[in-house]
Amino acid sequence: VGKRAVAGALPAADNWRDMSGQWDTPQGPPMDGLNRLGRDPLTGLQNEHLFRAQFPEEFALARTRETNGALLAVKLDNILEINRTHGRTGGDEALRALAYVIANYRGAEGRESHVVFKVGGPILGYYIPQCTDVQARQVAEDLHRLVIDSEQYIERLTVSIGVANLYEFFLEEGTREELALRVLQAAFYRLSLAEQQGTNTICDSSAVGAETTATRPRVLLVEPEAQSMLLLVRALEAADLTVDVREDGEGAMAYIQATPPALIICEALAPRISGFTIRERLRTNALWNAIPFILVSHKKSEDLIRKAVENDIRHFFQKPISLLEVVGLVTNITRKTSR
Amino acid sequence: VSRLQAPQIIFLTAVALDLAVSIWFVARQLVRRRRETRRRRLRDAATRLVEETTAPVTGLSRADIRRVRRHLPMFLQECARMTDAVGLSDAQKQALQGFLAGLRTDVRLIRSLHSTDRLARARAAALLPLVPTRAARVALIDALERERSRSVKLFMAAALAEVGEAFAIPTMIDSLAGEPLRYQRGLWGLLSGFGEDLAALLPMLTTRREKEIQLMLIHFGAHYLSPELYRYLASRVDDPDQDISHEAFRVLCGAYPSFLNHARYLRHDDFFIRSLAAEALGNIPTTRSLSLLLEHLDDMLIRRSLVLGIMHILRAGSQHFRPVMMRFLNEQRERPRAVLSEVLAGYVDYLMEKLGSDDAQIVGQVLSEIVRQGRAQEIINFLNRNTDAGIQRRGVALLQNLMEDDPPLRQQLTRYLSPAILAAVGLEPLGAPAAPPRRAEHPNLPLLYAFLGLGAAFIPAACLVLAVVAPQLAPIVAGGGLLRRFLGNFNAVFTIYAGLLNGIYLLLLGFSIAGVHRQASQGDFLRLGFLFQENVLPSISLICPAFNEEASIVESVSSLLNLRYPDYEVIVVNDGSKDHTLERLVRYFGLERTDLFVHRYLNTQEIRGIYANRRYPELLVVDKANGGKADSLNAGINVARKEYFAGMDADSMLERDALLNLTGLFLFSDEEVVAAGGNILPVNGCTVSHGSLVSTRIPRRPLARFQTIEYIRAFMAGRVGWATIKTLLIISGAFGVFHRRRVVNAHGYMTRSEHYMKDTVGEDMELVVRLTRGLQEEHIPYSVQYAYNANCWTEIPERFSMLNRQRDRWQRGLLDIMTFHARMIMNPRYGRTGFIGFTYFLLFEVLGPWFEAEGYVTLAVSFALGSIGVPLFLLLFTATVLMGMLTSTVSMIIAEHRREYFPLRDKLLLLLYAFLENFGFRQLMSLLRVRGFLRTMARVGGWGAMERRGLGSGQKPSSK
Repeated sequence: VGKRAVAGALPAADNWRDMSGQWDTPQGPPMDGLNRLGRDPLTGLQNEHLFRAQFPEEFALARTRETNGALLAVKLDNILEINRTHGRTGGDEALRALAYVIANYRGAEGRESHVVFKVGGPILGYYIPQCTDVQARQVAEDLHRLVIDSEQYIERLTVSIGVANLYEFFLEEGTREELALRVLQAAFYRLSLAEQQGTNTICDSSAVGAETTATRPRVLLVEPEAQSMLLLVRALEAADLTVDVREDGEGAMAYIQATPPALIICEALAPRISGFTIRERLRTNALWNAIPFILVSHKKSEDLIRKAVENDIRHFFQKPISLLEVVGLVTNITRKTSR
Repeated sequence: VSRLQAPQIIFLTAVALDLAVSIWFVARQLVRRRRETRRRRLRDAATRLVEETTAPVTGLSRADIRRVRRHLPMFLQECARMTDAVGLSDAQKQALQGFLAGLRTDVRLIRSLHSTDRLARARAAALLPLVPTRAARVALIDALERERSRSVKLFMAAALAEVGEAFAIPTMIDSLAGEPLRYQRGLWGLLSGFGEDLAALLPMLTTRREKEIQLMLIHFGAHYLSPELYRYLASRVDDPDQDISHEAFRVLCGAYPSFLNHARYLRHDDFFIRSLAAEALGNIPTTRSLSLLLEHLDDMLIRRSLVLGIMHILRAGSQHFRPVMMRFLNEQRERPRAVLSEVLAGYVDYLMEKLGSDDAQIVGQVLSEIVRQGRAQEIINFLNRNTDAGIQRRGVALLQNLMEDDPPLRQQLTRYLSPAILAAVGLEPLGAPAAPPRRAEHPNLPLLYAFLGLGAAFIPAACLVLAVVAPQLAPIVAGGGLLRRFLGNFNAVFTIYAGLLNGIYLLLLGFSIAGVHRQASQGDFLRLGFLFQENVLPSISLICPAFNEEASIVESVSSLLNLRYPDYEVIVVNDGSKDHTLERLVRYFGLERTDLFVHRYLNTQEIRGIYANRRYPELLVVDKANGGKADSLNAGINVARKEYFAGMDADSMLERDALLNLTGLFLFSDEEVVAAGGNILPVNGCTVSHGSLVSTRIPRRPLARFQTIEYIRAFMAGRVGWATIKTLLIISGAFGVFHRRRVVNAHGYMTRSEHYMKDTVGEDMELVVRLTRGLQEEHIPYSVQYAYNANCWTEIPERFSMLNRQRDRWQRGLLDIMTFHARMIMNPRYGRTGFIGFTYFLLFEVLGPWFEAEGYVTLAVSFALGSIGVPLFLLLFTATVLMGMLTSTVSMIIAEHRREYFPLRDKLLLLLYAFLENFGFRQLMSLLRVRGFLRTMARVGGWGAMERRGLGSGQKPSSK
């Protein structure tokens, strides 16, 4: 259904705004008339070239009107993973699915003036004229959630998003072309920051990004009696890692969904959702599945070991865990993955 | 103080006490907070101590060290907790040990090893591994040699195992002599942990002839593989002592499966060995194994194992089916045919599908033969489940062929096939479904009349006689007639009664406080690392009967599967639900029907099937015909494989550590624990997510709030107190743990299919009474435990009609037990349970409600006539309201000993309700019980048709 729907939603019309058939609004959007140039063959979206040619004028218009606009760079996170497992066609399909989800979002009422376009690789651009920075952030959040919830593709898709607001550049020196380029660059820079934060997230400030590039890998500890693991937490922190603690499986799942950590240390008998169930749920998603998962517990029976192996769990330590061993292992793994 | 003022003084004292206790109840939060801060600081200090490995002492400030010195026990506890989850490096261990030795901790702990208090000795043993100095190790070995109490011995042995003191092995082995299996098993695990060190002693140990040592070595053989142990095990199989030979062979089968000479063991003299060998062969699915098993088909003693073994081989590969089917069709002798038909009947699903294949002819013959062997039920069940039209068509054709000259089969089909398939077969369905059988309760009517007479008539009569014979004694305001004197007498007796009842409760509370303190300090030094070692805690089967629970069953079971306990299984018993309880479970957990063999230790309604999934090895679902909660529990006991079982309600929710807290107590009991219970608390006001509590609040409805007070009082004060004086007789059906073998020997829960051929609604209490009665008659030392912090949260009735029904059931159950076990009342032969427990129940629970109800009426009349004086009124108020308040408040204080259940606002509300309940609720409860009594008698009289309600919630706090 997904593929056909994409093709149907993007007919080979010559207007770049016609994706949902709402391009001929009476007022006419600010960028009207730029419709003769190319379209991305894969997704049917307007291509980056067309957008770039037109964007400086849009920027100048916004600056004179003093109305903010925002540019979003949206990148499909697990494209490498998908290409590896499903081949190139799988990757293309995933991209089409992403384009469909975003174009569909844009097609809703009140978003006629928004522009979706294709940048090189697995990246899409999304331009919102006349919005506040809060609204821009909201759009980014919406897109992020919509993609995760979408069932267009066999695997769960996630995106990282970089957001650049036009007003940030209103006071800067330079020609409209230079400034417009800088907006584009900012959006892409923030996209790369979002990816560095562990992908599947949104970044709308270069300053925050500058901090996060320097931050240490995050380790999630799921442990109902965190005080008993105080020693481990301190030792991990001493080894240049950030440790976040969640006391039950529910909190852990919420945490992982919001910001996937670099590594998870989980008590097998975690309250509400057990360590095994957490792992089972993480396996349904390529990105989460890749997070190294270490299980610890006082209970380590043959049955549980068998279950751990079935669930592809990296290590299963019986408590009392050896501090040296676990800290060493964790630093080794995180060093490898952060490189 | 003149005599006239006495009532006033008593009244004022009671008011003052009430106020003081209430303030203490509310203010305790502050004290607890200070304790928590201190604990956190000490924990922090412990962490810093080991972090700074180079200069340990400089890591702590002076204030820290002062604090540590002052609260050394708490500091040690925190150190123990720290090392329980995270093992230290050698340098860190040395730092910690050095610091503690500097405080002379080891010396203090060694001194405690000689204490006269068992608990102090156990605690010292549990903490000594923190400072394993030479002196400490030697002292531990010495102490283990001297120690008498086996519970303390276990702690000492565990400490020695933890520090890996190989010199202690001989002492530990010697300590096994004469101890019960429970202790021996605990030590087996600890000793196996020594591995090489224990193996080095094998040359000496293998020549020892003591049974305890042989069993220990056999267990060691399962963990430590060596040629020497293999030879030892093989030699033990021929030991004349069956315990030893069976255990040795079991270990051999598990640890050295392919080294066995199965052909030889299949001809062994002992049928147990033969049957184990047959089952073990099933794990080696080769043609040779199959032919070996087929050779022994006429060995009837091991029939069941043969069936299991062959079924196992069949499951491993379909190529084995053909030889088995051919043998079945060609076999002439009756017995082997029966065995093979049982085997093949277990694979009806597979065979029915094969009915359309090339082998159709043979398979058809096999299926027909299976039906002729009387196993049509399997095919019926399959067809009822099946959704494939082709298979149904072929199955129907098969049955039609067979039923032509087989009227009993036709009858069976009519009864059990689902209507659609029945129509396809061409049979008429039966008319209305047979009515479910009536509950068979047989109360003892004469005794009930005796109770009625005693309860309703004795005291009024006595008061009347007293009013006539000794008019001067009547406490009345001004001289009056006979009626006034009678009323006065009655009010006085009522006051004494209420005072006595509340006095008993306060006394119990005293015991409770002692019990709870002891339990709390026991819990303080039980560490998970120790509890999770093999065999330290008993294994438990959680049996969870479910009747029409489709809405919540999946969540309940998921939550039960996520308890923190070393070794347990969950057995859900679907009691013939009319909804999709079974289907929900099967779908969610991906269950499959298995061929698990069920012992018929107890007679129950028919078990239709057992479902399991290898991915959830700890879950079993039993599907059985409807028979009520007790019957379901009995079926669960038949399936259970663990040492203990826990009876549950499907709609109750266990706290994560409930089992751990409950069985943790077993470690401190020198007698065998046969039963143990935990708290039942109302879940009505709480927030629940994923089957566990998020926040605890009191219920919103007043009726439920009154019950909350009642529950807290009955459980915390009542049962902890009763357990402390070893007289506990009630364990709630919503959460109780029982020794499985003992219960089986006592004929399980009381149902009409079992030994006593009668039903009872109070099956939970009845079981405890019967269990303890039997043990006392056989003079076996036992104990019944109660954990104040093992919690089970359950829905309590919020509507009056449901409450009414619940109380009716409780009263009926109680009367049933009191009449059935009437022999125990005041009988010194039954020790405290008979003399104290039963007397209490008779006086205050059976007869009491009558008297209370009469008392309230008398009181009302006295007020109306204005015949009650101020002194009597004050005394009455003190005895009922003030003492009742005191009981409730102290109970709540006990309940919150280590943990806060409810926020401050809720606590204040509870206090208010504890006051209000004296004006209406208590009276109402007395009346409900009187009504229950009357309805019980009426039912015996034959006019109250009993409606069948399936599984009711069986929890029951001893009221008052």
